[in-house]
Amino acid sequence: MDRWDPIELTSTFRPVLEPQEAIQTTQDQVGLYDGRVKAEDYPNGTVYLTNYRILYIDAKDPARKSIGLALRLINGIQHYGGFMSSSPKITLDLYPRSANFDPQSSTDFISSHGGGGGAGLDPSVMAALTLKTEPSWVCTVCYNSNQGELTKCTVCGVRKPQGSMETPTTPAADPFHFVESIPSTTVNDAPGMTNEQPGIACPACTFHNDPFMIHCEICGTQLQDQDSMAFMLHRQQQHQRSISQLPSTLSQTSTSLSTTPTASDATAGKLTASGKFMAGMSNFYGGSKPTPEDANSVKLSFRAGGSGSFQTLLKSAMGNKAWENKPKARPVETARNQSSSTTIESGSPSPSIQVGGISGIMRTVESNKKVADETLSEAFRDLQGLMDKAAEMVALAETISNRLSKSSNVNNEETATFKTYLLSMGIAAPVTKDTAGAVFHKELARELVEFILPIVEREGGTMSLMDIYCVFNRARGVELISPKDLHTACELFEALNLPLRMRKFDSGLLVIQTLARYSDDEVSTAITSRIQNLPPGAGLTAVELASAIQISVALAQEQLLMTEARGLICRDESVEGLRFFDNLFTHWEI
Amino acid sequence: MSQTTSNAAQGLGQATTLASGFQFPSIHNFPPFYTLQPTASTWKNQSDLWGTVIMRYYRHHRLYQLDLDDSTTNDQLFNNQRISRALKPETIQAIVEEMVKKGDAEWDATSRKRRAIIFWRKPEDWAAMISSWVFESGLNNSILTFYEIAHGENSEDQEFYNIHPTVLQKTMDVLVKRGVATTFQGANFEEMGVKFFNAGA
Repeated sequence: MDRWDPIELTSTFRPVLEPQEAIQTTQDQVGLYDGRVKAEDYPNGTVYLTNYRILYIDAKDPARKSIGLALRLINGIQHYGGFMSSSPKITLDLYPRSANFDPQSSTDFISSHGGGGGAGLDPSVMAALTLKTEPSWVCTVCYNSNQGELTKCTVCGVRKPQGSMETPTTPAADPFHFVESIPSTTVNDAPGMTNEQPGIACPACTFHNDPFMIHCEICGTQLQDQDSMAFMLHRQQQHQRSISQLPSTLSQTSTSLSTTPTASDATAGKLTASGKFMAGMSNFYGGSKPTPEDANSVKLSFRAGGSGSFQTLLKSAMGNKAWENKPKARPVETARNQSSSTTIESGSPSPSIQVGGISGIMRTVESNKKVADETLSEAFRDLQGLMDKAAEMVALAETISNRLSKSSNVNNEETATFKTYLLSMGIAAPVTKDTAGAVFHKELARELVEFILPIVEREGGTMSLMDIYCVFNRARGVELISPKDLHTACELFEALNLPLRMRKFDSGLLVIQTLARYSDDEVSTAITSRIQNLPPGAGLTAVELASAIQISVALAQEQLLMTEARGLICRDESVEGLRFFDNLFTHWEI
Repeated sequence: MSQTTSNAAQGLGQATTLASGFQFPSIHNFPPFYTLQPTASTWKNQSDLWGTVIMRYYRHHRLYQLDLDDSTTNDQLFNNQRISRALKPETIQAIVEEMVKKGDAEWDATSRKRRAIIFWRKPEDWAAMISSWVFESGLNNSILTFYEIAHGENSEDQEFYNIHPTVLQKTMDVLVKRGVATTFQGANFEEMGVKFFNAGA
C-alpha cells in the first residue's frame, strides 16, 4: 500500500486530474487488498482508471482515504474471475521496490544506487535526472521565475545572475555547466570583449547595452560589428555542438532544453528519462517477472462486477503508456517551443528572437498572440479538430480570462461579460457513460455541481432545469447528455450531499437552487414592491419581470405565482395575457 | 392608504357614473376585479367586494333577480367597456355562490344555479318596513293579498313596490314566525292573503 499516494480531490470528491489526464473508466464498490490481505482502511470505494493512474476514492471518508497508484509502477496484471461468494479481482503486480523510484526522490536514488553503475544505466540519463535538482532562480530584469537549469530568462533572455548559481549535484555530468564553461573562456580570448568595455552604446538611442547583446534592448537596433557577430554565431554553434555531442538517448530532452525550456518541458524530459530508466531496470532484472510477493502486489476486488471491462481498459492504458509522452499543459507555450525550435533547426541567423530585451519581449508577446490565433482557427476548422483541441481551448480560455482579470483598466461591463463567456466555455474531460459506467449519474451530478454552482450563484441562487441543461450541454461540447440523465443526476444531489437541490414547483417547473438560496419571503417582497412602484394602472407580466431581473420566463412566472399565492398580488387574465397587479382587494373599503 | 399602493389606486381613474345616477366604486375599473382570483384570501376579499357592488346596483335599480343567461340586465354591472373587461358567467356564478353562503342571495331552486334572488335588503328589514306601512295605513286586522302589497295602489310610493314574490314570501315567513301576521292560502301566489294583528306593532 505504500506505493499509493494521497490524491487531491475537488469539493465534490472527484479526483483532480493532471493536464491531459483523462478518465477511462469508473467502477464503484471496489475494495483494495494489500497483497493477499484486505486493506482495512480501503474496504469500499470508487475506482477511477485514468491514462496515468488508478485512483481509489473511499465511499465513507473520501477526504482522508483517497489514494492513487501510478500505472507506470505496474509490472503486470492478473485477472481472477471470482468464485461462489468471492468477488472478481484484479491483481496488480508492482515493480520491486528498488525499481519503484519516485521522480521527487530521484536524486536520492541516483546517489545511493547510481554510483555503483551496476544497473547498466546510460550516464546521460542520470545526468538528465539531475536536471530537476537545481532550484529555480529569479530574473534580475523582469523578475520572471525560471527553472533552475535554464541559463537565460525565458521571458527577456537575460542571463542567469552568477551569484545564484547552484553547485550541481553531479557537475561532470551536467550538460549545462559544460555549455556554461565555453563562453566564459572564449570571452577572455575575444578582443574588445574585456571588462574595460562594460557596454555597447546603441547607435540609435544611445542606450548602453550588455556586451553580449546583438540588438539594442530598447529599440532593437543591431548593435555589434561583424567581428562580434561572428563571435556570437561561433558561440551559438559551439553551444549546439555541445548538445549534439550528447548521447542520442537524450536528444529529445536536449532539443527542448536548448531552446526555451519551460517547466512542462522539463517534466517531459524527466518523464522520458524515467521511461527509459524503467526499461533499463527491467532489463537489469533480466526481463523475468518478479514473483508476486505480497509487498509487490495490490488486489482490486470488484464487488459490483465490472472487472472485465476494467481489466481491458487497464491493459490498453498500460499499453499506451500515456505518461511517457505527457504533453505540455499550455497550448501557447507548446506551440512557441515548436516554433522556436524550428528556428534553430533551420539555422536561421536571427538569434534576436532568443535574446531579446524589451523588443524581444514584445516579439515574444506578438508570437504568442499569433500562435493563439492559429490554435483558435485550427480548432474551429472542423468538429473533429475542435474535439481534439478541447483541452487546449479550455486552457486558452482560462489564460485569456486570467489576463483580463490581471489588467487594471478593464472594469467595464463588456469585459466582465466576455469573461463569463470564456469561463462557461468548457469542461475539459466530461463524464460520459463510457468512462463512468455504473456510477455515471453520480459522477455526472458531481461534475454538474462543480460546473454549475458559480453560475447558479451568479443567477441569484435559482435556475430552471431547462437553462441548466442548455448551459451544461454547451460546456460539454459534443458529449451531450439527455434531459433524463440530467434529471436523474439532479435527483442525486441530496444523497451525495452536494450544495445544490432540485425543487419542483406546484406548476411542475423544475429548478435547481443553492442551499443558501433566496427565501420565498425575499423574492415575494421584492416582486410586490416592484409591482407597487409600477406606473398607475400598469400590471406586470412574467416576461417583463424576467427581462427586468434577468431570469427565465418560466422562473419569473413561478415567482409571480408564489407571490400571488401569498395574497400579495392579484391577477388579471385577459386576451392580452396574464398580468399581475397590486392586491387592492385586501384593504379596499367601499 | 399608503404611498405605494396609491399608484395602483390612482390608475383606476374616476368612478363611472351611469345614466341612472348609479356610481360604481373605482375598484370597478381595476382589471383584476374581473378575474377569478385563485388565491383563497384574495378571492374572499374580491367576492365580498363584488357582493357589495351587486347589492348596491340592485338596490339602486330595484332589481331582485340575477339571471346568468340574461346578459342584458346586468350588462353595465358586469361588463366594463372602459377597460375592456367583463366577468365570465362562471365567475358571476362563483360570486353569487359566495353571496348565498352569506345569506345575501338565494338560488332559484328550479334554475340549477342559473338564477338567483339578491337580497339587497334582508327579509327582516322588509318585514319591519311592510308591517310599519300596514299599521300606518290602518290596514291591520284586515286581510291583504300579496298582490296588494307588491303592486297595490297604496304601496306605489313604497320601497317594496314591485317586490319580488320570493322576497315577499320570505318576508311574510319572518312576520308569521314572529306572530305578527298570519297567511292564508290562495289560488295562486298573488291571491294569497295576509292578516296583521294589532299586537304585532
